[in-house]
Amino acid sequence: MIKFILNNQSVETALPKGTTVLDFVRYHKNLKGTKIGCREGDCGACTILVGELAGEKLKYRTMTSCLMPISNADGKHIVTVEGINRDDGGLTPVQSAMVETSGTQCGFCTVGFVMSLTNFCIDDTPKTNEAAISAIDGNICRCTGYKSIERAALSLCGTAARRNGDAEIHSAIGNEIVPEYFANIKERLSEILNSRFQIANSSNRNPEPGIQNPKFLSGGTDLYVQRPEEMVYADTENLFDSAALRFINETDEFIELGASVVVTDLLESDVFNRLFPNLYKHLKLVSSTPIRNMATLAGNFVNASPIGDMTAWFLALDAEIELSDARSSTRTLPLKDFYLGYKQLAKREDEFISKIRFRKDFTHFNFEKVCKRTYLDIASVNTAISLKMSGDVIEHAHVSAGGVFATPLYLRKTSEFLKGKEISAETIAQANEIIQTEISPIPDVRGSAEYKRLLLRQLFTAHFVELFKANIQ
Amino acid sequence: MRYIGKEMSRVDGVAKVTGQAKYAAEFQVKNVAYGFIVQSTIAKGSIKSIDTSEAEKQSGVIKIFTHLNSVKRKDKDDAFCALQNEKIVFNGQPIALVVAESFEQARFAARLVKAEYLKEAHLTETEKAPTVDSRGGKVRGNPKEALQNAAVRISAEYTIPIEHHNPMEPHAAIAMWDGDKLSIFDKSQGVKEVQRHLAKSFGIATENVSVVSPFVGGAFGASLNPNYYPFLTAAAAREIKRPVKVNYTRRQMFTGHGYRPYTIQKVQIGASKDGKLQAIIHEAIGNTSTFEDFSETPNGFGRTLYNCPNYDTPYKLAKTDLPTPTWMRAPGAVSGAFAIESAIDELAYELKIDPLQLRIINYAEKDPDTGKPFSSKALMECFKQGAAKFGWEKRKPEPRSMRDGKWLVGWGTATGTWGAMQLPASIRITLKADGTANVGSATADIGPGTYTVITMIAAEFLGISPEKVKFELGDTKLPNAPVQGGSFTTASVGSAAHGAALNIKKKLFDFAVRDFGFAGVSVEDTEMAKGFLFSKKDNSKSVAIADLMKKNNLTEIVENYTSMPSKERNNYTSMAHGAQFVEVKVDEDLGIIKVTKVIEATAVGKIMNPKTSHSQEMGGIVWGIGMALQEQTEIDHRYGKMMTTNLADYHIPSNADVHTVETDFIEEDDKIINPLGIKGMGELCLVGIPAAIANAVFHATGKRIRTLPITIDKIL
Ligand SMILES: Cc1cc2nc3c(=O)[nH]c(=O)nc-3n(C[C@@H](O)[C@@H](O)[C@H](O)COP(=O)(O)OP(=O)(O)OC[C@H]3O[C@@H](n4cnc5c(N)ncnc54)[C@H](O)[C@@H]3O)c2cc1C
Ligand code: FES
Ligand code: FES
Repeated sequence: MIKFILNNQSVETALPKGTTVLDFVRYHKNLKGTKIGCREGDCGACTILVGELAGEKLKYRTMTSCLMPISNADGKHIVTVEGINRDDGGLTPVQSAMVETSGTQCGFCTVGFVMSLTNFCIDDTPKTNEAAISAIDGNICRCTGYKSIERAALSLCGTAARRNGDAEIHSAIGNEIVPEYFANIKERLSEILNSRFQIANSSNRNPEPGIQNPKFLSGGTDLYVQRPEEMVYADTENLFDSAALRFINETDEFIELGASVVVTDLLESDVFNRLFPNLYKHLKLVSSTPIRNMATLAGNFVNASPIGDMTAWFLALDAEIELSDARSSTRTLPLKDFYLGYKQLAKREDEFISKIRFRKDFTHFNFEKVCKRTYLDIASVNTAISLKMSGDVIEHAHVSAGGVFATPLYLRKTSEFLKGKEISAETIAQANEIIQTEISPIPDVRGSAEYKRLLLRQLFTAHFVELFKANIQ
Repeated sequence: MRYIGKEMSRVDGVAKVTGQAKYAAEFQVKNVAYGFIVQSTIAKGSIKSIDTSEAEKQSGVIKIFTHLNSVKRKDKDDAFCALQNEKIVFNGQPIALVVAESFEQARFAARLVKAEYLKEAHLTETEKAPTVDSRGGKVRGNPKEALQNAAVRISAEYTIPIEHHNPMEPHAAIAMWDGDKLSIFDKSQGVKEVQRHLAKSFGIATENVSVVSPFVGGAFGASLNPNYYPFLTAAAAREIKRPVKVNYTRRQMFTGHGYRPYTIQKVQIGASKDGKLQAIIHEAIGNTSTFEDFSETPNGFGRTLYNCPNYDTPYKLAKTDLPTPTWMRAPGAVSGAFAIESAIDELAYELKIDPLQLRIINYAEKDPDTGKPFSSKALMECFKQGAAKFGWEKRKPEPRSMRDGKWLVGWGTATGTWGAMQLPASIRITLKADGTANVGSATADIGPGTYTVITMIAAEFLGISPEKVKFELGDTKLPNAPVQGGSFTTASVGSAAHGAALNIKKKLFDFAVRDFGFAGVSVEDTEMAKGFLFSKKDNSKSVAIADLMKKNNLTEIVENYTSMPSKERNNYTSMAHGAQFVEVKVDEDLGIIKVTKVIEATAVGKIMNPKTSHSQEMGGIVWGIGMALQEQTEIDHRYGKMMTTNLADYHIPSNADVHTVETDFIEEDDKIINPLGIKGMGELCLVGIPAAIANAVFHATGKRIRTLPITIDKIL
């Protein structure tokens, strides 16, 4: 049985565990406030809050319910708009702001925005204008042109500010952003979790015959876009909530991460913020807030999209992955050796990624991505680079590029070439020539082959402009 | 006025922010079954065989409809109707409907329906498709000769790709039968249209069809015509004798309701050296389907804009193996304006005249086509106010002459225009003795704020507060109203609300004259407010409305009213106008384009509610940004298949793509168009924006992009 709290109600269900939370709340609970705009994670109309116990803390994040299997809701607090609506018919500050600024027109996107902004008010990010605006980066509105919604978002920064000494959730209750019942969700979730040996939803297995059954599921942001009709009935091993796969550790030499770390975990990690000073600037180019809350590193690696952003990122760190199987036999492999051909991986079907690690011995890192739309977009071309500099000389370099080959690409020759070179316009020009021999972009809706070649040339140069502004002028 | 012209938050806001507003797919219907559409994978030919046996075996499947066992339409028109025969006329055409106990089951089984086809060669490229002539408008003067003789000439070709509305709400219907009575919840911009369509299709009486559509999650033209799914849904419901719900997926929307046609336009302009336009020949070809002609006359809109003695606008349709296009926000106008407003800009550079100045030189004081005066036209004030606010006089004329660090800066301008139409519309107002009113009209509110504005008008003229007015729409049981389109809803239904309220006052006034000594007072001098009817001139003449009703044994007064456009309108041309000023910044190395500022000044008659109006205008501007920079439905011509059929690949602007956007209104006091002076603005606001952006991009980069969208690869 899958067991969780839906708004103020504890629910148990024996439905197929691949059922999406979206269909569960709408069809099985008749909660129609959560809208369906695309079922592919692109529009945010289905945004919900997901509260999860992380140690002592109850933490809320937004997720797109259309891509979220109920198995990933197990043991959590799922909040739809009905769960924040006030009983007395009044509006929460988020809802009133949306009405007063004319932030709603046709209204179909509205609930999604309300949920994203509610999460902004209850999570522990600083209540800055920038954070308010980025809280709605996963929501699309076709009517308002966003300006009014932006005003609503900005007006909330004050309201959402932490009240003296209160924990976030109590502060939010005090500000009437969420109802009273949120106060004891933490206890209720602990009870659910303690009431059983482990989060096992094995009884919700009823695979239909004749489907291509993926062995593993993490955040679902690729699988539910690629084959939603089958995923409902698929019997997958869910890795998303496996505590053993969600850690970020620092040793003297390495950073080690569990495979189910999601992009947001990186954003919130002190270690990552220290090692990557531009972390926020770079990661906000990756999908959108709700998707970053669901998208795991391993999922990104295994999906093997040629333009996977996290893949490009970790290729440039020359990361290694640990592969495990049910018998706990493990082996380690450089990520750059993982890709054999288009969606072909150096991995047995029953092997899953358990761990990722990379050496800390780089002094510079940069990530560049160009897409057609500012956010919520897959890259046309992306590239990352890490360098270890000793004085003006490159001790070692790792460069990756996406969107220019059938697989995510570690640029071996270019990385090798850069070793021992001094940074100069000439070095960059020569490296760029080598890059052009290593790539073979495929024309698609994101651009022609020549365009992608040109773009990578510009982006590669941009790395150095960004990292060594003065030196290359 | 108490309410009209004042800021008011929308009356349906609470329902929307709490998720209580019910859209078509959200009505709770007992025992409903779910239909999932299966689509063709070829663009042209016929179905040789279709195998549903695997799908039928899946759990939950109730019935699978194909052309072999489906309900056939009783009447015929050109519009596409699903599952009528074996012919395939576009890729993505519905070839089966799988009906099952749950949505998931229907979707799961749908992928197991297998069709074999007899393929025929298809043609989906507008450039190559055979054309037919369409209505283009009369030739003015002698354009060919005037062009020959002009001192300065330019000629350029502009292309607009197929674009899709992509409202946030996917189309859906739930249909159920009671004997031969059909009721259907549908996403619709005009319930009466759907009612007529279904009644004819099933050969049943119109009054036997009820269509309900109280909330529409955006439509922008995609729900103006009844699409194929309501009939398909209703037919399935009749056959399985159960309610059926069908919801398009986002991908199915791309072939499910039409689109803005692919349009190729050639503009030739001749002018004198001092910038006077001598001749314009604006040719256009738009694609349509092989089975139906859709025309939107994109080149017509420039005709009223410029004082040009010689003008020709030939128009052709190209027959492609694609679904039929349809109206999409500012149909024709925004496409035409991209061409003509880009061309005027090109001419300005050719003449070395400031592009705004060139527009002023050729300003039409009268409708150049008919010689009629405009009922109002404050475009010149829009030019002035918009330019002043933007700081246009600081513009350096040369391309690539303005910079902000690594960004090239460009400033561009364009003009927009849209007809100020009004159609017959009916409304029913019931004023109750307790001071509340029920108002009903079968119009729609797809987002602009119709619920709110009609409530305001009724409240204003009934003299009660808006909270006391309950306005119902989107239901065929209500009095007739036109579809919500063409920006004519407020002018049409608003005029009806105004007329009905005045008639109620007249009835009450007649009672007052008879029963309460109002003799000698004229009805025009009276007003209703706070529950009283009173003379504005004579304090002693005042009577409670409740008393008036009581005296006449009435608990309510019901007024059915139909408003018609006035005869006087025929003596004038009525248009809304706008001036746009745009700043773009272009990253020279990466080709990234940002629209950093848009200032739009529009003259759209009376502004009924500034709050909703500004929102509407800003939304339209962002549509213009999308059209200019992002939106494009790409077709793989090898398969005749639309490729970018999801929101990941069909880009509409996200919040981060929108920077400073400001909208100003120049109010016009137009007594001719209708009693309240309403023009309508929902489409005007985007006409001109794509051209203004393209013009700004030229100013920034020196590159004239004549094919939308202006993507990075075209800049580099
Ligand atoms: C709207 C939207 C926007 C997006 N934008 C971006 C973007 O900007 N940049 C980008 O890079 N990506 C983007 N993505 C894709 C990105 O979300 C995914 O690639 C994500 O990282 C995959 O992780 P997941 O946990 O959701 O994977 P899932 O969908 O759960 O799984 C993906 C694949 O990985 C396998 N798998 C999962 N975990 C493991 C494991 N531990 N070991 C072995 N196999 C495993 C699964 O079997 C499956 O084959 C976007 C997705 C959406 C929906
Ligand atoms: S429905 Fe669009 S993101 Fe889920
Ligand atoms: S209000 Fe219509 S999509 Fe946002």
